[in-house]
Formats: sequence, structure tokens, C-alpha cells
Amino acid sequence: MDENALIHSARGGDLDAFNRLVLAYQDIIYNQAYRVLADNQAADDATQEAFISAFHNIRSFRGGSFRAWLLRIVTNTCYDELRRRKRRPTTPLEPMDDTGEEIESPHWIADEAALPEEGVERTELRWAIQHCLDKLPLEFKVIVTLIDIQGMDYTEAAVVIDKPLGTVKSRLARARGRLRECLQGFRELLPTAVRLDNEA
Amino acid sequence: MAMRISERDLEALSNYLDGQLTTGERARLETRLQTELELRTVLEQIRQTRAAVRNLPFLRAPRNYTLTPKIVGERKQPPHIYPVLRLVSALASFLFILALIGDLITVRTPGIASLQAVQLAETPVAAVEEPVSTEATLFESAAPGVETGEPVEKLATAAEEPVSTAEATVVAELGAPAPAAPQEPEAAVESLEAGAADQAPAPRLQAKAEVSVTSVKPITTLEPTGWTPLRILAVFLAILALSTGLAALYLRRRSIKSSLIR
Repeated sequence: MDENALIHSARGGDLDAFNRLVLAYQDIIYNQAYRVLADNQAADDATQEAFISAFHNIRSFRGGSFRAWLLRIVTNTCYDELRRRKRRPTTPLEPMDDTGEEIESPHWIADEAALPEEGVERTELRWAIQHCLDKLPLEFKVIVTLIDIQGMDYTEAAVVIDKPLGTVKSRLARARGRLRECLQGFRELLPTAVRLDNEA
Repeated sequence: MAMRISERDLEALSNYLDGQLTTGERARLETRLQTELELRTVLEQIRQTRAAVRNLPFLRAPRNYTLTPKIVGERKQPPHIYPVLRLVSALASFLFILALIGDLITVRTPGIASLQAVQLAETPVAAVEEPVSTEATLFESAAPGVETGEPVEKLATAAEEPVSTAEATVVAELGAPAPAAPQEPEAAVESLEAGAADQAPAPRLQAKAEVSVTSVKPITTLEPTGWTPLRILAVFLAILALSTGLAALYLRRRSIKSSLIR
């Protein structure tokens, strides 16, 4: 059954058809949620919430890229979660240092998706990149995740964030600029961190 | 240390990497890249940044997120009344503002205010604030044979007594039947009595008790006149907007809260 047929059935309330769509897109959606929220549990909740919302609102899907439509839902869910965190800041579970700053655990220690065969260097690089991603303003983080991590083109990304193409270009450039500045600091600690041989 | 370049150049370099420049733009940038070392350096750094980010592993979902009827059923949509409450609240708010504006215009417009003053003056006046000036008072003359039905004694105390529309009519015109000297009220009464029968028909003067309007202060201030219909309406609309808005908010928050329960 092709995607359009599944979507058509799901619009009629067919939960099985919708679940087949879920299986096809759940990795993409989870990735988006994780890279934006930088937390496994939060990403899990956001992914589930996004699919529930998608099922209830599937009649509002008017055609076009179903992936972009789902990513838009999960992005909005992430926005809601981050706004909720701002309103109700949680007590940090991480230990505090003498200045009252949270001693962050590297993400790769808790990252369940860490690949065992990866070297420490590579893992530290991933942590450094994620750390720099976390420091970006939300709208920059979203656009970098969509284009550079999810591999979307500019037009599709514009649909997801519901902004003009010019805004996509501008935000992406500024996001990359900030990441560049942030990673320059880690470059000193990780002299062999960045390689060009994997560039697409 | 990361070199600083303008945002415009940064965007040009980023677009250049992704092939998003037009032919002309690309040619101009490449010309600059040949001559500007700093620009080349930044381009290389952005290229490396992009590569590093793209190098992040693509994570697999830790579990399946397929939905069950139970999960789907637990998400409670706001009740159907929710959009109705929201609409009513919005409409009531809008009408409230209109009513408020209307009330403000009514209070501040002189023509309307004096109309209200006249209406106020036509209602029974409870007390006379100033003594009635006999010179200013207009009376319906007690023409011969005309029964006014009013006790003459009232004439003597007309200056002090509250004037009622029901007691509009009686008192002699001052100066008729022409005493030379100013008369006390009692004297005026007596002369009226005496001259009532043979007095030349005195011009009838239209009595307007309410124009013992000297008893009413001229309206010089524009003050609120109490609970006008517009104000009552505005209050009602405000209460309606507030109550329906709060009810809609409550229903919405309740549905969101219940949808997070699994």
C-alpha cells in the first residue's frame, strides 16, 4: 500500500494504516525531537505526543510532503515543551559546583543510541557538536537540524517552519556561523576532531 | 579564534556551500574568494562545521510509537461547547468595548448632556436649593372667576416652599394691581385677593413650575449620571466575556492535561 493510500485510510480513521505511517517516520521524528530537546525522555514524550496529535489532525493534511507535515507537528511539540520548561523550571538532577552551575554530564554517557564501536574521540566530538547545538537559539537549532541533520532541502524546511525561503537561508547561515564560533573552542581541545573526508 | 565577517558575507558563503546562489552571485563570490584570504578561511570553517553536524549519527527511535485505541481514546478533545464559549467571549469583549465607547461619548457630548439635564429637571424636584426670586417667578394669573384651586396662603410661602408641578399655578403677578412699593409676600397676597374680582384680565402667563428652574442649578459640569442603560449593558458584557473566557480556558487546560495522561 503506498503512502497516499495509507494517508487516505488514516483520514478515514483507520488506525492500522496510520500506524504503518508511524513505523515509516518514527526515526525521523524522534531524531528531530532529540536534537532539539537534547534529552531522551523529553524526545520520547514529544515523539509520542506528535503522533497522537497527527492522528487527531490528519484531516488537516492537505497533501504535499507528509514528512514535512509530521516534522512541523513535532517541532511545534518541542516548542511547547521548551516553553513549558521555561514556565516551570525543573530542579536539576545534576550536581552543582561551587559557583552554583550545574555540572553537566556529557551526553554520550547517557546516550542510549551511542554506538559501541565508536572511538572516544568521535564520541566527544558528537558531544561537543550537541553542546554547541544546545547553545543555539531555538529557531536556529531547528533549521540546522532540519537541513544538516535530517537532510531536508531549503524549500521543504520552509514548509516545516512555515517561513519564507529567505528566512530559512538567513537562519541557517547564522546558525552555522554560531556553531563555527562554538566549535572553534573545542577545536583546541580536540585537534583531530573535524575531518573533511565524510563530507557529503 | 573565529574570524568575524559580516552577516551578509556569512549568508553568501552558507548559500554558496549549498548551491543556493544564482550564477551571477556565485561568480562574484568566487572572484572575492580568490583575493580575500579571510573570506576563504571562513568558508573553510563553515564547510567543516557543516560536515561535523552532518556527521552526527542518525538515531533510531528507542521504541515503536504506534498508537492503540486506548492511547488515542485517552486524548480528550475539548468539549464541543469550547469553540462556542470562545466565540461568545470574543464577541462580548468586542461589544463591551463598543458599549464603553458609546457611554464615554454620551457623557462627554454637551448636547446629550443637557438633554439629560432637561430630563432630570422635568422630574419632581425634591428641594429648592435657592430661594425663589419673586421677580423671576412666572405665574399663571388668577383671572377673575378662575378657580385655581390653590389655597391663597400658598402664595405667601411660595418663595420658601418646594415647587411642585402639581402646584403650578398660583400667584399674582408682581406689580399688579400696581402697588408702587415693593411688597412683602403677604401684602402681595392681600392685594391679589382684593383685586381679583375687578382686576383687568392679566395676561396669562404660562406657568412652568419646573422653570422655577431657578431652583435648578444650570448644568455646568458634565458628570456621570448614574446607571445608564449603556453602562448596565457594558457591565453585563464584561461579566459575560470574563465568565465565558475563563470557562473556555478551563476546558482547554483540562483537555490538554488529560491528553498527557497515559
